[in-house]
Amino acid sequence: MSRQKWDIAIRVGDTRGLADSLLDEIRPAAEAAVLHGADMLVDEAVAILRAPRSSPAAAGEPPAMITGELADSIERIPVSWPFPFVVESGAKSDLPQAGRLEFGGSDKTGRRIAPHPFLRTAGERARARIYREMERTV
Amino acid sequence: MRWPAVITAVLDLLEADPQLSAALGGAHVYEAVTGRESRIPSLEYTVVADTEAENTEDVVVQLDVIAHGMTAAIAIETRVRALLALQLPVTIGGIEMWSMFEGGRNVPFPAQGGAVQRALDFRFTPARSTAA
Repeated sequence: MSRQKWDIAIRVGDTRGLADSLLDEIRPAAEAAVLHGADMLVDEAVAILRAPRSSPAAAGEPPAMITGELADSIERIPVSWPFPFVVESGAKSDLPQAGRLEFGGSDKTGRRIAPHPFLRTAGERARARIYREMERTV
Repeated sequence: MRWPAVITAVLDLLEADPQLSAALGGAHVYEAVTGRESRIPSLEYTVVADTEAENTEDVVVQLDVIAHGMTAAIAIETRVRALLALQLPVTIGGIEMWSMFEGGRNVPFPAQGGAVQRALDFRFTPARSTAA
């Protein structure tokens, strides 16, 4: 009985040590790859928002550019590790109108404001390139 | 280009479902149109993206649940997810595809106290069309 417990303790300890060591080794490359992917996403979103488009844009189309404020507001999300083997970043806008444009909504009279997605559109367009780049880097 | 056929198939599925129709008070599924007053309860849809990969085409659709109160919204969302949030390939309206739930969020609905809007993203992935 005591031997069995000892075996288990050794195995767990070894595995954890190996995993920590691997994680330390890949952490810089993983962060760099994710940040590069996030930059690609930001670039795609800005390009979408700056593309010439009739105004007002049709429902489901990215919004037409009026002042450029929305495009200027797109920035990279700082890298984080929500779980030991998950590294995250992305693109965001902190403008109050950004969420209502992306997901739509309604006004105070109940009239619909259709979605004009730009971040999800950017994600769809850049997805394959980001995956390829991350596979190449990591 | 398969998104028109995919949308038609998905809308037919939603509108023909008795449980969903009961929760909505009828087949109240509409395209989201700016400036139109939303019916409550109803489902509104928007095609967010359609992309082509080597062998597949992805269609991302935002479905907005608009209901009186969170309990009613959850009942509608539960039925929609039972119909569309699937983990295996399915055939909808004669089209084989993956049908997956991508995420949901609450959207403010300022016009009426107690009205609730939930925006749900679904990804439909049929094989790529061979038509030119």
